[in-house]
Amino acid sequence: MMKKNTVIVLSIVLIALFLGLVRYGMQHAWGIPADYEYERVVLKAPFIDKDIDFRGATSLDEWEGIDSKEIKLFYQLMVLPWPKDSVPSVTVKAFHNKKDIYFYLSYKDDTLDEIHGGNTFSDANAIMFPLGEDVPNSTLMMGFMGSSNIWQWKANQDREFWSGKGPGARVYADYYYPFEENETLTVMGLEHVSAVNDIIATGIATLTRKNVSLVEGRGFWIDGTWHVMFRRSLTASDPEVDAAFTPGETYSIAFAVWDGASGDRGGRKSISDFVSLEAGT
Amino acid sequence: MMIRVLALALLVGLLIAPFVVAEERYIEVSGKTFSYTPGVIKVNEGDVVTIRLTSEDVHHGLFLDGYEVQTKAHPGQDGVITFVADKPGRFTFRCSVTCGEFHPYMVGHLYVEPNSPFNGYAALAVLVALGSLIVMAREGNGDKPAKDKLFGLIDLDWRFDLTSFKPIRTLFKSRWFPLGAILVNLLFFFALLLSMFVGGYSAGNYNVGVMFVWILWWVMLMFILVPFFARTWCMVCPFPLFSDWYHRGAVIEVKPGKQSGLNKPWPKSLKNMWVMNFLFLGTTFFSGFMTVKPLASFILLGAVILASFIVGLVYKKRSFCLYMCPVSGFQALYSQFAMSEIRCKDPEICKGHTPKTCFVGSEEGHGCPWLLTPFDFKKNTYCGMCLECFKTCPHDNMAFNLRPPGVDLLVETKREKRGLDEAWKGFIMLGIAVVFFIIYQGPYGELKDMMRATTYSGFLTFIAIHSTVSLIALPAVFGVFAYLSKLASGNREVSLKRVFVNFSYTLVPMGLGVWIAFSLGILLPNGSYLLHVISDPFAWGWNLLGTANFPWTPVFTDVMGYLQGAVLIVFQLFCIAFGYRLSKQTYPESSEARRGWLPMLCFLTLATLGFLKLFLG
Repeated sequence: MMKKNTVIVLSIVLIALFLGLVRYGMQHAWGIPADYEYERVVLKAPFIDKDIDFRGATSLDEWEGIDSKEIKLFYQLMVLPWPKDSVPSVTVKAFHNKKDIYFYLSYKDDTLDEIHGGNTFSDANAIMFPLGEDVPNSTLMMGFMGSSNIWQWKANQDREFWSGKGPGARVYADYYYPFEENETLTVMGLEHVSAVNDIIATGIATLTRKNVSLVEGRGFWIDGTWHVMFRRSLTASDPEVDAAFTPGETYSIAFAVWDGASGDRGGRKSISDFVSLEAGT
Repeated sequence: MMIRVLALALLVGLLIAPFVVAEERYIEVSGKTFSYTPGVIKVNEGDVVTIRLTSEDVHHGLFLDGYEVQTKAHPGQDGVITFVADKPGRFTFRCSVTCGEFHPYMVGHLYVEPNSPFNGYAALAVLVALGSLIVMAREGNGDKPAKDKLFGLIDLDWRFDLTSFKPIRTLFKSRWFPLGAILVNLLFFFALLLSMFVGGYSAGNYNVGVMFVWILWWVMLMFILVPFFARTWCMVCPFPLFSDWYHRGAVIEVKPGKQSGLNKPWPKSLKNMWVMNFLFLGTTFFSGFMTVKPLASFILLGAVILASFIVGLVYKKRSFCLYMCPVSGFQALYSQFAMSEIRCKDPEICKGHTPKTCFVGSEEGHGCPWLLTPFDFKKNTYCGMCLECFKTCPHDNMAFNLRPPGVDLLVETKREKRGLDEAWKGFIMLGIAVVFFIIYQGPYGELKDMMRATTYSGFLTFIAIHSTVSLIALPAVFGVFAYLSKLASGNREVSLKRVFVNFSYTLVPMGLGVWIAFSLGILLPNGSYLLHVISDPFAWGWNLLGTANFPWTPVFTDVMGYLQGAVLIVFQLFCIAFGYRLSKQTYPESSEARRGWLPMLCFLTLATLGFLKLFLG
């Protein structure tokens, strides 16, 4: 009888050990989780009763006194080959005047890249606003399959739109094909109606520029630093494709920066995690 | 009238044929994990074919067997290939970029018509069947030959004892053999299990455990080990080692006395293949995980090792291997076809030898761990080739014979009866091969999704279809032909069950042939992944053999269909050769045997045509 009990106990212990091993394996089946302390940055967009006119001699002094946040960037991991360097961070400010919302992005960039050609790439940056109730966990690949409204400012467009200069190149590459180093796609340049592309996307390779850009933007490259401003109405003209902002509400937004001198274009870029945007009352 | 119509049709066909003009064909193929749309493309020989590949989700490729051309596509970045379809037949196009767990099985079929390879093999299969009838008729008219020769060439009683070579006999009598080989195998499997454990849910084609177990080991079993060397895998299998050590209380030496554990006898009603049948079939329900996810493979192998030990605590000796091990069952059945055996040399010596040390054990070795009586068993089915009988026999009366293939199919003794359990094992193996081919090597994405359980309802539907095919549909069709055989024979004495069971042994060579053909379709396109994984077995960035960056390189895929067709025809010959002999065993009169054989010949020919259609058509 004792022997039988021993067999039963031994069997139970072995099964339990095996199940424990399986459980451990399943918990780590996608790899060993890295310790990553992530505290979401909160960016306040207070109500300030003023307008900034992007036309003419716009002064950056308008942004003095508004709280800024430094937001860390990392590389878009889903695109190979991974670069050695990325733009490390971007400083962001925001406010609204109950009619329009304004953003200000600033980051170091030693080279001015405002010609977009077949083998030269323009500096650029963007703000992403996830649409709908369910915000994706990650900003990788524009939040995978979630819908987003993206405001992308590009230096070459800024040059053409605000300075009235020609495009500098008749064709340009704007797609990074990661496994064929020598292959780039060239497409015809488009006429720019703004320095900012107002874009809708639902995941990788779905970037679609809207016919009408509701977003204004302007950038200044001063002493190795980009200063870029965005402005758009708080309200959405089409809730399906436009981000909307209500004072008192909090939103998830994310930032991206392309360094043209590093060959950034398309999916090759530096991106941030999601940031909480608090629109003040 | 009918002849005139046929002649007219033939004439029209001949007139039209030269006017079938080659066209330029443009085909858009969309890839989405893990299938193509369309999955089947048909063109005519000589067409200039352009395939534009688009991707709906991740990076996919398209490699076309036989034509050796490929392209790749990202979402938004299409790929294009153009080629002249100058080779007729069915060709598989497959994903060439690891796109996820089921990547090796993301395939479609291109038909370049007319499909002359299939037509040729189908005609050959019919000719083989008709030819066998001529041979049968000639045999019926002549005198019986003194010796029964396979294909009139190989004496079925021919044996060659490998242990007549002294070094081999010495090796077999050593206590270190096969233990040494088992220990090496244990170390190897430990590494494989570790790789599966750390591999988690990563893509199986880049995991050494998954690749070795499901590509190399499985193929070796079907190609070499079982057909040539019977259950030699059981000889070196490390899984029951811990149970053996526990039973014996020793690692190498032989300790006298009762073995450890409860030592209960296995229930008499379960001393057959039924438990193994259901366990094996049940295991295949989870193939959509086990064959592609390293951790799932770990769970399966770990469970087998654990079960073998726990069953060993309760039941005698190798009861687990005999009656439960999922791998053991098909080896047991198919080893009846094997070209080797362990048997006693001279039964007269054994008759005079008491006690029977091969069964009860001696100081030299253990009594048969497989609970056989080595002095008189006649079939490979339950012999695990552990070689203990070589050690315990004081008269050196055991032999490791080479022999003609399939001999055991004709053996039935009072103690080793044919049974429904073995018949159903044959159906299950055949059913699994059919279902696996359609899902793994077929162009049906919905079925792949069902097998890998993207939805519960789909998974349950897969289980239901899979079980029905193996347990009900195939036996039912076979049963109809067995009934027709009984009717045609005119014999009322022989029971339908006996007809059914006896002829079911023709499914052994057929099943083996089908599995070899299936394995070719897995090994040739995917074998090159092995070079990567042996160089970096744990995916830790190693490059032990300098082959870690060896690209995916399918080999001989241009002749794969021809090889598969040839294998099916060769094993059709074995089916017919042994089927007719089984008919003669089933029906006492030779005229009854000839008549009773005809429906079964029809079945086997239709089955061969069906498999040719599956693999080539």
